Amino acid sequence: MEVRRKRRIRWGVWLPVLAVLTLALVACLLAVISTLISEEEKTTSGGNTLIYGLTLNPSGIDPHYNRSAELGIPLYSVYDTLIYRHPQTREFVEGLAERWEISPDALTYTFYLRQNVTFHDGTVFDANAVGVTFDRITNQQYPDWRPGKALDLIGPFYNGYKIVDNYTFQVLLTTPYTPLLDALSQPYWGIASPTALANWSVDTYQWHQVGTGPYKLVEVIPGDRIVLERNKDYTWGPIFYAPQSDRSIERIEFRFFDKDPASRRIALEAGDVDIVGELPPTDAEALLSDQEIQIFEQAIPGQPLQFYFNTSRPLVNDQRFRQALLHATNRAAIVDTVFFRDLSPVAYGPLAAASPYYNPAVAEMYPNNLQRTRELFGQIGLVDSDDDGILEFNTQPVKLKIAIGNWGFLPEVTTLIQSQWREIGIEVEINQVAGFTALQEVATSGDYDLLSFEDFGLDPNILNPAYLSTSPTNYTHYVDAELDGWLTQALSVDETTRVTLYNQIQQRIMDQALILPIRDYVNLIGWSARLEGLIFTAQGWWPLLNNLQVKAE
Amino acid sequence: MTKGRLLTIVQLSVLGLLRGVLVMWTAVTLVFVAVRVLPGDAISAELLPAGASNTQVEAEKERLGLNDPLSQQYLSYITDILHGDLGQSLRYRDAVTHIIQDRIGPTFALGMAAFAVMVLTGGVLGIASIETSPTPLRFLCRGMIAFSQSVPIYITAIVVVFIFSLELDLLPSVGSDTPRHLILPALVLGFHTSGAVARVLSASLTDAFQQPFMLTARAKGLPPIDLLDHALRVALLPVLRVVALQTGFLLGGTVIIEGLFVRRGLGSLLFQSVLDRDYPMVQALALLAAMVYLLANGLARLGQRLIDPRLSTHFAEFA
Amino acid sequence: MPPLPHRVNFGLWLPIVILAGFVLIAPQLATHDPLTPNSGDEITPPSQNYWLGTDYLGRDVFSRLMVGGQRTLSTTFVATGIAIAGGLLLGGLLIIAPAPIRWLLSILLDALLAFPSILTALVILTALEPSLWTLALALGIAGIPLYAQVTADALRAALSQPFIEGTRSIGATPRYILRRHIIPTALPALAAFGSVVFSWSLIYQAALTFLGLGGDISQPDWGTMLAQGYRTIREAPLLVIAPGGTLMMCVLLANWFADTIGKSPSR
Repeated sequence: MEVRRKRRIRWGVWLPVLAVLTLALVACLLAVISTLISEEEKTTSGGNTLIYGLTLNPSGIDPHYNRSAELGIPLYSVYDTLIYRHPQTREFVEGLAERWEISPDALTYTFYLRQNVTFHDGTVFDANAVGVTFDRITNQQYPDWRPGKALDLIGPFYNGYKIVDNYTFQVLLTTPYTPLLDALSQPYWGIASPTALANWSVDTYQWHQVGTGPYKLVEVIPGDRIVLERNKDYTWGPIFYAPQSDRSIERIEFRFFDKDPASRRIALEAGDVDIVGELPPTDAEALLSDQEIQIFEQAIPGQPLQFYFNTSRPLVNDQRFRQALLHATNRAAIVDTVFFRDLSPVAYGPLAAASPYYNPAVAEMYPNNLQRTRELFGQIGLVDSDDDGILEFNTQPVKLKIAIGNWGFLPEVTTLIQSQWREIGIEVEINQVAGFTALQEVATSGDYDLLSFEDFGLDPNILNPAYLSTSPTNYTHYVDAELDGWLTQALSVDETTRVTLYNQIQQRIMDQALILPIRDYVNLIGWSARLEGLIFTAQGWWPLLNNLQVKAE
Repeated sequence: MTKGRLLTIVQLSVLGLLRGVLVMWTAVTLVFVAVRVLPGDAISAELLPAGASNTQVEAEKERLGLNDPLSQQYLSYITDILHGDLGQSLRYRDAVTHIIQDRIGPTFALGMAAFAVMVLTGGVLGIASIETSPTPLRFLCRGMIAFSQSVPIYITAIVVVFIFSLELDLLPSVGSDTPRHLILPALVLGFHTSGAVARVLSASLTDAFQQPFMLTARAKGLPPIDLLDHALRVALLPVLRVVALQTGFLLGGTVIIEGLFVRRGLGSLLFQSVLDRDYPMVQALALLAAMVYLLANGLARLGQRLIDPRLSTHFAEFA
Repeated sequence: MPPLPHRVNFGLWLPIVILAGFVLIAPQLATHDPLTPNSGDEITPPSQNYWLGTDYLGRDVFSRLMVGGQRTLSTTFVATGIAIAGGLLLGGLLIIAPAPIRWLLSILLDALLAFPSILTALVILTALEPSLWTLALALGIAGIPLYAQVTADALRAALSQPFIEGTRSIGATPRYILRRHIIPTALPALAAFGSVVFSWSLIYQAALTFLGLGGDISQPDWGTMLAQGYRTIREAPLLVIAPGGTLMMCVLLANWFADTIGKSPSR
């Protein structure tokens, strides 16, 4: 009896304690082991390798099908395009095509291709390879084909291609299409290895991409990392590519800093990332005094941070009401508070000031003028009959619904708009949705008075999907035959006529007050002081990784 | 007697397993229903704004089998699961199992390490904060428990990163490559899940000390180690259960922690997939989470029975 | 059952009074309009005018804390209420329903419990238009399975007391037994776990708001304040400490309540 009790004592104390300890120990061991096993080749910052932080996790990274600008950050250097745009002059310069000719009727573009170029997998580059990429993007008969950004870019007048000989390739159009060269200079039109395209399906090619560019894609783990290694055989780069040297970057690992913007600055300071974009302005400002980090400010051409007015909604369909709201918005104050003005300009029209074809006349149109707002409200018949500080329209209190995503500084900007408009008697409900998908669902449903969305690009034809009355992404629901005419016409005319047309277009959009522009995009990039040579393409988002170097000792 | 007990344990395990299969099937069905009830889908969200026509969207859905009748979808869903095929991710356009394979390692490591931290911290804090421990110690421990349960995890995360990565430069701030990358996130996650364990342990220990048999034991003048033995036996039962329960919270915690520490893993994948309406992915991850929980829970039940022979008489209830 | 001691039990009443009082009174204490940005006064330290300073947009932190507290706490109470009501119903059924149904229910409950509650909440939330109230609904529903489990356990424990059999044998009606014996025995555990659900909802509300799932951010709430303050945590830690500290106090109060009433919660 005595013995049994003693045995039980030991069990009672030691069994649980031992169990807990072994459990913990085993757990720790398993944790360490599994980390060690799952180890791939590791990249750490330092030497000729670097870690590049991406700030958005694209839904896919197939340049021919996916739409995100983010994918171009790594892929711009994996592919070459037929032609390039010079980062500084914005001129078109030769890429995989040594030269090109445009027929007098502007319906045939002939590209004379460079010889002795090979893809990363050893496949020889020729006109046939270009044809396969064109098929993959434009030919609906291509297995499991789907429409992508690249298809949008080549425009509505594309009429197939013709392989003249091994190194001569023609693009045919039904109607002249001026933005064609710009389209073909973007990474969405990177020429891919026909061998690789044949080896992988439409869905799986994105993890095994093969181009001719200065970097090879060596590893992709969706949503976690993209790894590039230098292509040592690369000699056919465009004129603005610096020659490779022993200070070039050998290996670049991209990681996603998309969930928590605050982690970007910390990782920079801790040396766990070498380059990361879209720093919050407060963090960028704080880093200006850090000796080990440089701040690069890159203006992004395209649409500014803006809100579309939904002109299919009552009251918002009144031009005077929209104009009144523009006058009621103190954009300078918003930009000052949220972005710091010296790091970010105020936006005035549908195109950022950094875009070609920007019409500076729009800047004067809507100064912050509450007097004018009240006049316009009076004309429409908005009154505060019950004295509650909120205006009524047909005895209904005015309440606008603004739909925004939860990223960037949209919540802050919208909150300031809300408070500015409350002062003139307009109530605002902010519908902040989580994630891109949800915002697109709101956009499709049409249940909003204002909606924030923007697209980027050098050519002003990015305005077409946003304002053509037939476009599914015309979130303003504004219908104007004349504007449609100008937008369509501007696709096919020469440069001078385009300037006139786009001036008119911007004027009309602002005259109608279809959007509330707030701030031109400026990407604030933090990068390690041990590096030099960071520059971005003319389109703004994409770095020329080829020109990055480790500073000489 | 011992042989009989062993037999019961075997019987119980078999019955438990059977029940587990039933529960799993119910869970699988629940997920299927939930996913079909939810609005929207990734295909329309991706293709429609891209200017695709409705027929193109429908064709894509057809290709992915989203337009079959529900009964047929359910049948193929079940058979596919039995074959280990969890479908295609709508977002990544890759086999769900493949994507999970790529990411399960770091999450498993994080979960395990955090589990260890949770059990150890919870155990120490729990025992040290019972009523009979010295007042300053008790207050300190109770404070820590309260802290672990009430401070949002992202605050602790940024504070430890600030201290250990920036100020002291001891540990990396982001990434999931080496065991060193594991330390900070595991500590933070483990600490924040340990509070519940500690509270239950402390409460049930205090409880146990007030039981009549403890009074007897104390009256008999047993040494403290014997007293703790008596008390722990009883007190450990609810703790086991809470530990199992916390595995669910550990998984939930990875959603935030993986984002903050830029770790590869299933937590951030789960969050993104829910937002993207990538339902095959959500479906698979939910099932995985359910499986882990059921396993943990089953082990906890078995453990309870091993420690406490009284429970095996409630056999019928268990089955 | 021993009656509660006669002296006032602070641990029982103080949490309720403070939390409920906060919901009722706090907005009246606000010194500024919590929504109005005071241009030029962005991120100021505490002063006579702004007791806890101002935030990123120049709004008074103290007033936001007060007004936001009402929204945060009332939605948390709603979430708790949903979890308790649903949990009591399901848990009660689990005890009193006839055997086959009971058995099926217990399987269903186990299946529900198998999903992490944050996943359940996330999925419900994204299906609805996000707002603090739908967040409360999602958290409440996500809390039901666990509360049902606790209810069933508590009722089972109350029923298995030896004197229940005795009372029944001397002819007490089921209702009498329920009122005099079952409810008093089960109540502490149920109330205690109720307050656990309360603190759980509060913390998860803050977590999901941090992830940007709080919906309309026009009105202040603690989760949004935390999420926005988090961006400048190194420049102005008070923007996080103020809502974070208050939130922590509320969780502590709820835990105190749980400790006092239940002695051993979550069991």
